Amino acid sequence: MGNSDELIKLIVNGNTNAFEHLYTTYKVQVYNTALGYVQNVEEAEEVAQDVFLKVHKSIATFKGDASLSTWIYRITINTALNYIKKKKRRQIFSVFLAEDDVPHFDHPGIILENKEKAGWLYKAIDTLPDRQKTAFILCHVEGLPQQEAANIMEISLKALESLLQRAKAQLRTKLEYFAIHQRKTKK
Amino acid sequence: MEDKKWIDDVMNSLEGSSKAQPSDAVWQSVQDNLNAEKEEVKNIPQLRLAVAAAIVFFILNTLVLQQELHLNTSQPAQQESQEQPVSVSTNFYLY
Repeated sequence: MGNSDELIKLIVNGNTNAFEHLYTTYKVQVYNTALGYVQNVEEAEEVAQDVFLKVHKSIATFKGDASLSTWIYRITINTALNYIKKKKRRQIFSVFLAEDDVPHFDHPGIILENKEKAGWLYKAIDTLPDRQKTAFILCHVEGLPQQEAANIMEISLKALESLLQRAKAQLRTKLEYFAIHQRKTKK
Repeated sequence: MEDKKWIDDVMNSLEGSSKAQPSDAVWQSVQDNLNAEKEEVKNIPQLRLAVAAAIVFFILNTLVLQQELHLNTSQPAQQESQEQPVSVSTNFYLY
């Protein structure tokens, strides 16, 4: 926390190297979390860029009641969810609404043999309600401990467990539907 | 049964995956945006100065115009008061 305080002070005083250090430390965290939500490499980069600009703009208001990492996670989640909302609003008027039968996202970090299956999982994640989606992404995509995820979401551990349970149940239902649908289209 | 296995495999498909790295373009864009913001902040005093100069210029113009208008409207009245009707003949006698 002491190091974070020092880093924050330097950034507030306009030290570019300090901000670059913060970027280097958190870029993977921000980018991968954004990737879990928007499921598109270019869009995740756009969200990441937005997140770091917001961090730079509001770092002076960071009070330190949560860790810097938790604070940056919160900014990332809100930015990604807003990005998706805006995108959906734009798509209301689009003629080319997704009539997808196949997964469209190819996560760059997934091992080759799991690529197709992970694509289906991401497609199912995309259908989850926001809070369930956040709980699942933080715990199962980002791999955070449940307590940390609960801190980020500002909920109790029990509430997080409940969200995760519902998310998994909903994912299984969705995947079941995908499996049936796939079989039908193959026939 | 087959579906259940497929679903289990899909649910576990993120295991062993690594973190993705953002491209260098992200940091470049962040820097560009921050520099643009700094430039905007630098330009604010110049912009304020330009706006203030424009306002002073406008006020001065308005004052000059008002004075001009005032002069134009008061001059004919003065002329009228100065100009006495000059009669060519005074007593209608012909000499």
